[in-house]
Amino acid sequence: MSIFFKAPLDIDIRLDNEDSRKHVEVKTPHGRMEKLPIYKDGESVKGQVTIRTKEGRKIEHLGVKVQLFGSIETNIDGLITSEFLSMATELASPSILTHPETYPFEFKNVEKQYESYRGKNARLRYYLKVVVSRKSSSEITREKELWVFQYITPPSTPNATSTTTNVISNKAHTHHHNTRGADSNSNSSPPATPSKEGHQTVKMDVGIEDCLHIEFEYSKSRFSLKDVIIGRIYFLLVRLKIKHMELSLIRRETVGSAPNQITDSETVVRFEIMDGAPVKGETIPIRLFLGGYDLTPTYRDVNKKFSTRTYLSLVLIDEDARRYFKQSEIILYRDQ
Amino acid sequence: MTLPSISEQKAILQGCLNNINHQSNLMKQCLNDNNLLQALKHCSNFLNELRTNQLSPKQYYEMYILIFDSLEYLANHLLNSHNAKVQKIRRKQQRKLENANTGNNIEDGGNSEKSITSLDTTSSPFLSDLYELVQYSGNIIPRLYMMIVIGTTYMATNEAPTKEIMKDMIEMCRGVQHPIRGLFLRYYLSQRTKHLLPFSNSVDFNETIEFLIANFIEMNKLWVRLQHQGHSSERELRYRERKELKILVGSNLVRLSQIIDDYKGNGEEDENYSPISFYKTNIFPTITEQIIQCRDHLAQSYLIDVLIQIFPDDFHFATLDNLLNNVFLNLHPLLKKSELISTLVDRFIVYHKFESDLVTETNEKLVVDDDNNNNKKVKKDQSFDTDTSELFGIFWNFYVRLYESDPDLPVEEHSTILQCYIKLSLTYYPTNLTNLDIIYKFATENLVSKNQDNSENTEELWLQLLVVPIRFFPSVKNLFNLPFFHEFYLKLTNKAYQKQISLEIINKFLGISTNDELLDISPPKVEEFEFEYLTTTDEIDGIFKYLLVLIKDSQSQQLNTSKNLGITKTIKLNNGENGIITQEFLDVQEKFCKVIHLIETPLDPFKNLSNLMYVRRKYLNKNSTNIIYTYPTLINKILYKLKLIGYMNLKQKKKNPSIDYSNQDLLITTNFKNLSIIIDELYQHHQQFNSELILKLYLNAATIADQLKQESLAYELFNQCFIVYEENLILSSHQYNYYHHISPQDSLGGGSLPYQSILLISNKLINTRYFNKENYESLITKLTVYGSKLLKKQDQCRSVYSCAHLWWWCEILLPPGEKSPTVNDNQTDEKSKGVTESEKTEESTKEIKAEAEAETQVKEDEETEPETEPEIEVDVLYRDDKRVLECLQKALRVADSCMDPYLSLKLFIEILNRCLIFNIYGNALVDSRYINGLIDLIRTNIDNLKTDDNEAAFLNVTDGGVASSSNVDDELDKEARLFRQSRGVFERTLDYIRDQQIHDNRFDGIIV
Repeated sequence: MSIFFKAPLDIDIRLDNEDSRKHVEVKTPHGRMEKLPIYKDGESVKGQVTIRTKEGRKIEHLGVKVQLFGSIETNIDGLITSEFLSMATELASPSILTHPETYPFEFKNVEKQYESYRGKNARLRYYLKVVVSRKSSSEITREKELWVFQYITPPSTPNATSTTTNVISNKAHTHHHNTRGADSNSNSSPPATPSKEGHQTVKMDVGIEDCLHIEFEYSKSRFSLKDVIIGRIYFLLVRLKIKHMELSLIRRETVGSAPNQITDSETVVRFEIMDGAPVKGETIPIRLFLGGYDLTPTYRDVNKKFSTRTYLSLVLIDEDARRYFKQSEIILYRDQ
Repeated sequence: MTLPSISEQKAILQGCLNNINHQSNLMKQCLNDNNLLQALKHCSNFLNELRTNQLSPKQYYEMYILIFDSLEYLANHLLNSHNAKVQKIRRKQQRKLENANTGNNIEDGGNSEKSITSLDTTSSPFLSDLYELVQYSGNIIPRLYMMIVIGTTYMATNEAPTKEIMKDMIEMCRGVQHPIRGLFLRYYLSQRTKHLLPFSNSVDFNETIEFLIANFIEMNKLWVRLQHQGHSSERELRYRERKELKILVGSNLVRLSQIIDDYKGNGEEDENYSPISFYKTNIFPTITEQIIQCRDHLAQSYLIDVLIQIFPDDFHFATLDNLLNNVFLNLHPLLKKSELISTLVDRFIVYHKFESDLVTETNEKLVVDDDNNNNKKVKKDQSFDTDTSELFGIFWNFYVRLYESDPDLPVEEHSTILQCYIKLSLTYYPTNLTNLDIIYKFATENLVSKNQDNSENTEELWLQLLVVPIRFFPSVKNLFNLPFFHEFYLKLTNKAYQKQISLEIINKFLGISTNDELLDISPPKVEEFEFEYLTTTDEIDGIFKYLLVLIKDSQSQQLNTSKNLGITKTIKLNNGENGIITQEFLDVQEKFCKVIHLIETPLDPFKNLSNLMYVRRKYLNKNSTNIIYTYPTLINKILYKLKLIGYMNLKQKKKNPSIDYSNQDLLITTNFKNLSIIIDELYQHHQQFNSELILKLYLNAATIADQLKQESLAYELFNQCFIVYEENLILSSHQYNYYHHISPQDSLGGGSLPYQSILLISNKLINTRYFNKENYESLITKLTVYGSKLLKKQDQCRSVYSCAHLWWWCEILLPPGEKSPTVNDNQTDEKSKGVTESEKTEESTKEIKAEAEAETQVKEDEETEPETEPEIEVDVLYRDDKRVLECLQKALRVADSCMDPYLSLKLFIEILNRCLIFNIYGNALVDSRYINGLIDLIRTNIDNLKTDDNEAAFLNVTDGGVASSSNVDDELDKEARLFRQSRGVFERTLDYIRDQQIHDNRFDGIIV
């Protein structure tokens, strides 16, 4: 697109039921809020493309097509885009446009393997692209972004048997198991089935020798985004002068693979759970509603390009403002 | 945690308050605009101020109050909008229902009903959504406050899951572990839930109780923890802060008590529900466990106090044993258990009073009421009865165990506890004194002996222990039944304290109320104090063994202590020669005298006498310096009794002369002898300064002895009087100064002490009637001789002419029909002489005399009917006209020998007056010739004085009047005045004679 010349055509992409469809608000890289329609995996993408000429001019073109892309943009030493989904439909053969023309289109039952994501160094986006090819100058294009939610039915419910969810949850599970093993050694019994594992209480003994010994416990390790983290902290030994204690949720985005990997952490939630210094034997309840926060489901090696994980971090701050923390990963998923 | 300085704190607080006001105004605006989310944001903003670390608890509370109000506003708004929504929905449903009904479609109706239920469920989540929403708040303090305000508002609606919310709130409150913030937060929870706690059935009730107890436990933990915050140098500050906060913790227990009070059991569900047993099994153990576990001094003392104060007494009766033995014993060792005991006992005492007031009423009620309604009451009453009977036992067991477990318990503790026990025992078992004795026995054996280093303080504590029952008992005699009371009393080494107790006893005995703030149980009111008599020696011992210390206490000691105490009010007795004493000392002595008067056996005077003697022998004579204050009373009391006995004796003798009365007489005689010994003892010790008093005592005794016809005794006693006179009075070396200032001219102004004594004796002697003549004359002669030997002329003269009366009786002073032995002797021995002579003279002036006696002498004996039988009268009265004349002559001589002519003149006039009296009495030797001579003598004297140089001055004074008298010399003026006075007296005497001559035909032949 030229900066100096206005495009001679207006291309408008309208999706079916766009007004009634749910939208999501996301931040653009420029910091503005943007409203995007939400699509599910396997849902058809249907709509019309309307092309108008400006000021009644005649426009000759070599054909009009609409494309649906799923792409991942990563930013390690420069922006790299890779497409994992690409579909196209021809809307019109080469002709001359004199008056507005509308073309319906439909991509049936598109498999949308991943969720849309906008992170710091990685973006996963789905978009429709209408291309009007022209002889002389460059083609005229118009893009419209879609937002895809990957809903996962909770594993515990017996009728949750979609193949895709299984794959992802399995993936997630294996990975999770590894990390957790590294994090804490208290919970030694490996879960028998993934569905059970997600609901098992997570218990951790954490401490600094002769200074602090606490038990950190929460109900499970997998949470839906609307879920509540419920747990407790049990103080076995307190010799620190603790001022307060908070939970935070940290989103960690990893882009690239081993040697040149970029990791970015962002504290999404900061939640004070205790005020003042507890004494031995005190139990502090934890209840953190997740629904109100802007969290991202856990993605592991999305297309071998990036991962986003969320860590639950327990931070104790003492009177001298020293921070003691314990992080453990929790698996987030989106459910209906 | 270091707090900023005070001024900084103030500034910070002001900042906080401003911000809260600001934010809460914004919140209200938002609420009015229906912008709830924004309102909550402002709410959260001002709640954030509560996160501060920098304020003192008081300042924090100030903030809390402000915030509380703002939150109330929010809560009201939420509740109103909730109700409005519910109503709206209801209306909609109604409309729908109506529509459905008009449509008459059954299926539609079903649908609409479904929609009602669905709407119903969607209606309440408004608040429940909010409840969740506020939990996103990142900071815990605002989050929890908002949870509570919304949660409790939610609870106030009908469809709320009340108990779940309660549980959730209290669970989440655990997140605040900071003592002050936590306490206020939980206090807020408690305040907000106050009226919302469910207790409609037993399950709800139990959960509510659990909720309250849980909150209490957590608050207590925080409160205790506050002590350990910050630097150890701030311990005191922490302690003070905690004290300020205690009410927050206590409020939970108060609420608990209210709930129990409100919950009346659920009729059908649990018939057997009784608040007492519920308290005993469910509440008491948990709370006390918590109190014990916290091991905190302040918490324990305060909370036990609250526990005692807020729960009903029945509850305490039921748990008393546990409370004492399992709780009190396990409290902080430094905790003052006595305070707790005291509170508890006070409550029981109040309860007892209340209960006993009610007993009569309830009894009546029980009779009137139907049976069905009374089950509970009866049960309650029974339990009450059983409990109280063991009350003391339980308390005592506890005390013994306390003593065993902690032998080093400070004395104050022991004292206070025992004091409480005494009060308790007195209230609950006013008649059973064994409890008290147990207490005193224990104290005597274990406490006092152990503390050899009895400091003043400890002794003072024991003192209080002893004082309580004294004040309480209706009669001091109850003390007699407490053998260990006295033992304990003896263990007090400080005499001052012993004295204090003794004074208490004496006051009690005398019915002198001492309003001391020391004692707060008032003894059973006696409307009118009735004196109790001490009738037996045991009783006397009972009282006086406590008084001994006061008896032994001498003045000088008393004075020393008074100096130490800075008391300056002292009294000089006997012109300071006797030393200085204090008013207090005198008061005590006065009280002794009162006690002596209470030694009384109304029906057995002999016993009474022996008791009085016993008191003297055993107690009063222990300090010889003080007997001067107590003996006179004792002596008078004995005399009074003797008099009674004697009169009875005489009367009976008269009635039945046949019976032998020697035994009685002997008793009287011995008693008189004993009395004489007593007076003698007094005399031995106090003759120097108090012989006049002793003289009077002797005189009294002598007069009474005479009246009882104990002649020899009376004679001896008069002799004693003379001894006293001779040994001490005659010298009058220590005479009071004021005697010297009296003008010798003044015949009525007293005179010297010896002169006074002579008058005293003569006044008594003239009344005696049962001496034989010889004895009588020997006595009166002796006295007259004493009179004539006085140093001063005026005294001599006056005592002699006074003594003249001893020879001329005018009054009968005898029971009708009796004759004086003095006169009888007279008749036998000197019948021919004196009486016949006097009879002759009498005969001559008989008519005059009879009339004169009837008119001038008021006391003239009309009983003896002088006009009808003058002979008897003559027989009865002892009269010796010669001696009378001799005395008058002697007096004249003395008056004449006076150096001072004015005084001489005065005395002449006085004698003239005496002569006139004797003339009226009918003494023939004092006739008109004699009187004329005397008048002449006086006239000459006056003339002589007139012709002196003074005449001019005299005239000057009389004529010139007061104005010129100022020029005259003082001395001259004084003499002139005396002279004028004497002349005046003389003129009046002459006027009198003239008057009598005209009107009464007296003084015939006297030339005026």
